[in-house]
Amino acid sequence: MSEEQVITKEPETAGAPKEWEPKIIGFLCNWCTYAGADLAGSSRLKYPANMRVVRVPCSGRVDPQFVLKAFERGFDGVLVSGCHPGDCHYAKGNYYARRRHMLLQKFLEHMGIEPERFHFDWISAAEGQKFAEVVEEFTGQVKKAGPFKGVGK
Amino acid sequence: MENELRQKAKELLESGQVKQVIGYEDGSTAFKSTPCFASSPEDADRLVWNPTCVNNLAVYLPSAVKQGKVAVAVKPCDGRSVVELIKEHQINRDDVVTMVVPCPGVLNPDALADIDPKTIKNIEWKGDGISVTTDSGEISIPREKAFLDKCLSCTLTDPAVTNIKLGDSPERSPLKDKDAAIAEYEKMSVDERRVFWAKEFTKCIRCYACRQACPACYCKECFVDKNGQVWALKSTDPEANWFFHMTRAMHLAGRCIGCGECERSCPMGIPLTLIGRTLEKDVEEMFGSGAGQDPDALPILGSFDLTKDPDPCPE
Amino acid sequence: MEAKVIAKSDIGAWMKGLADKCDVIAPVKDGDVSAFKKIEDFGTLSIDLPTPTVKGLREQFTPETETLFEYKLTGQQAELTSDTAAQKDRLIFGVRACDAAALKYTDAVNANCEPKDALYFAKRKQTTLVGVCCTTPAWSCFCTEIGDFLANPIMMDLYLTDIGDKYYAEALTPKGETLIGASQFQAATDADKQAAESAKQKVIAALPSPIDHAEKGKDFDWDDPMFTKLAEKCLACGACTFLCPTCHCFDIQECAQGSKGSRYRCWDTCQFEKFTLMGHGHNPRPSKNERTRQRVFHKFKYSPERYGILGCVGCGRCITACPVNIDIQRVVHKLEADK
Repeated sequence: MSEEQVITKEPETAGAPKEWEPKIIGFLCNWCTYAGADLAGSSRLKYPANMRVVRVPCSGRVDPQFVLKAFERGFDGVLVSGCHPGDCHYAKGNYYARRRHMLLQKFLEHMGIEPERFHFDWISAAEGQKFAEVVEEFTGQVKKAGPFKGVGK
Repeated sequence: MENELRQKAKELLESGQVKQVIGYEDGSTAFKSTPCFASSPEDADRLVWNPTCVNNLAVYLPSAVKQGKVAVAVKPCDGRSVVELIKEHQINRDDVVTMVVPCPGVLNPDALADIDPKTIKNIEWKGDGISVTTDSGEISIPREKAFLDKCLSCTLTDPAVTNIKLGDSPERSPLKDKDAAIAEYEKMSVDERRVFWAKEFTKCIRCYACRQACPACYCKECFVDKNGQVWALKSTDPEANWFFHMTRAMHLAGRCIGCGECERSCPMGIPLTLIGRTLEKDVEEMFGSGAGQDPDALPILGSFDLTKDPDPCPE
Repeated sequence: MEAKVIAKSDIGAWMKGLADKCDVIAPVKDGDVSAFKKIEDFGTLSIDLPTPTVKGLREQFTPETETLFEYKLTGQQAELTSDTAAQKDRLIFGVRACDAAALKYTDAVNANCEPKDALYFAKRKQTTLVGVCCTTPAWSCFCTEIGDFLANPIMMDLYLTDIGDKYYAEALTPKGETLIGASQFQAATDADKQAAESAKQKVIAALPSPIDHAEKGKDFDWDDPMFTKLAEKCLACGACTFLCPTCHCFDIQECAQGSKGSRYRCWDTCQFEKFTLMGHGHNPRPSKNERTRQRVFHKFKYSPERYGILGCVGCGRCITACPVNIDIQRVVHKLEADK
């Protein structure tokens, strides 16, 4: 998909009348969460298709700038997820990520973006079930928060 | 006090201990001073120390130390910037002589609103506040009106990198709570804050005075100046402005000492210190320590603490 | 040309009448800063006079960000659109003499190239300017040193001078004559004329005396050691140049998002390191030393040489805005003394 399609394409909701669906971007660590998402898929677990996944080498790779850019471009929610403490493929990338994103979430709230629109979580490669649950819960949460009104007005 | 400063500066320059002394000298009007770079003992006679000395001179250190050892006159707040620069390996501890000047508070330009600026001849500390000498006599301005907000809540002692202490720190108790402005701001709902900042950032003209005046913004190439991978547009669209200020704020997280130079330099009057302070408050609450205290500490976002860091998803 | 008077209390009604035909823009205070804004509500009109607006008229003719064209790709087809739809005519009220005088300079710059800057001149053509003579100059003002436009305004259509409870209104162009044809204007008496004259002289008396900067600028010393001193303290921000009414430099940038995007221009300044950085890595103005000199030389030496007018109108904005108190008036005086 081109960047434009990623941004504008509406999630497919078979049959049902078209209601507003949140656009969510997920930055998933290659070693844990992305594999967890794979497992969820191969286990045929159902979860909402609102999230566009960006695979990153490590949750520590996720610069707060990525998250800010997503909100600047009008995404309704952002998920960042990586390996559990102790499991990082690069030993400690997730520890840096944790500090950074816990702070970012608070900062976003201070600056006018509801904390419900941002989620940071640990999901391992074995947690296909958890992945489906987290995505389902987060999508519901963002849906409840409603369409993001944007940062410019 | 001024004489003591000049004397000390002269000694340092004469003995060759430092290549230059960075301080303040008289500006183009009596209510402004300007940074002074003294490189000879004669230059040191131009140094002044009065309520108009608002600039945070630490901003000059990373480039100044390239020419040799530098002595810098700092207020206790600005001293925190020197700590940060040492902590972040931008300057060597041995390359800088920190001269801490006793500071009762520096001038809030609003204090002069009722005085014809052209008649002002001199401004000095007097009693608790300041005394302004004008053509038509002397005007006393009380502390609560005379000084910047940061000064009214200041409880800072000498910074951890003090080499020379000039005079005695003035006795003072804070008049205001440090976070009074934030408490007021936090009364807004989350969505009101979004609207508030959207409006404030629309004013931004991208002159980057905030960034240039900031001692913590020393990147050789700012993310917003990159021509290759364009993360931040140079346009002044509200969204692009938001992205610039938000990213800059995150880059300063855990590093902002709250000198307020960004807001003072902003020609458009954007309340930038509010951003810095909210973020610093969070850092202090979440990670227990703030910016500019310990030159040997690790940067907040460049370290972690397995025992204390909050867990995003407790089992 | 003709002159009339208008009661201060009638200004609102007069502007309201104009608003049917064009957008009315005037300086209004928003928080701590005053800026030119389109007036929507004439009922609660409080025009901020004579406080100088933080920005001059620059953004009215060359906005901070201005889209040049937009494109859209559909398969192999590219569709270009540029928003050339005619703007509504507009009247800018409350222009200071210095800000209007700056237009003489920007007109010269934008006309002195081929093709001429169409976006700029389209806006110039659609704009009527109503100036107001200053009453209390700011501490940083030095316009009288540059030119006599406070007494003899240029580049505006109508010039108002505060004479107590009314304004003395001098039409300077046919557009201005039409303006004072409105019913709110009354015939001016000789006493009004004299009052206006003395009001102008009173302000001028509070300002510095004229200096022939254009002549003196010819002999500026390229290697003046002062620039090293200025460069030491200059923070290399763009506050001075972005607020300057005669500064006009811009950058052209593109914004691509998937299959669509735009090309826009935005303000740029010689004070930024990358302004002169070339593609192959060379920078002819590599340090702040050259860049601080460029600002002063461009305004006081190159501009008179190239266009016959100074590139400074003495509005003092760069002086008030500079975070480190670099005062161009002082700098120029020093250069003139040093030569």
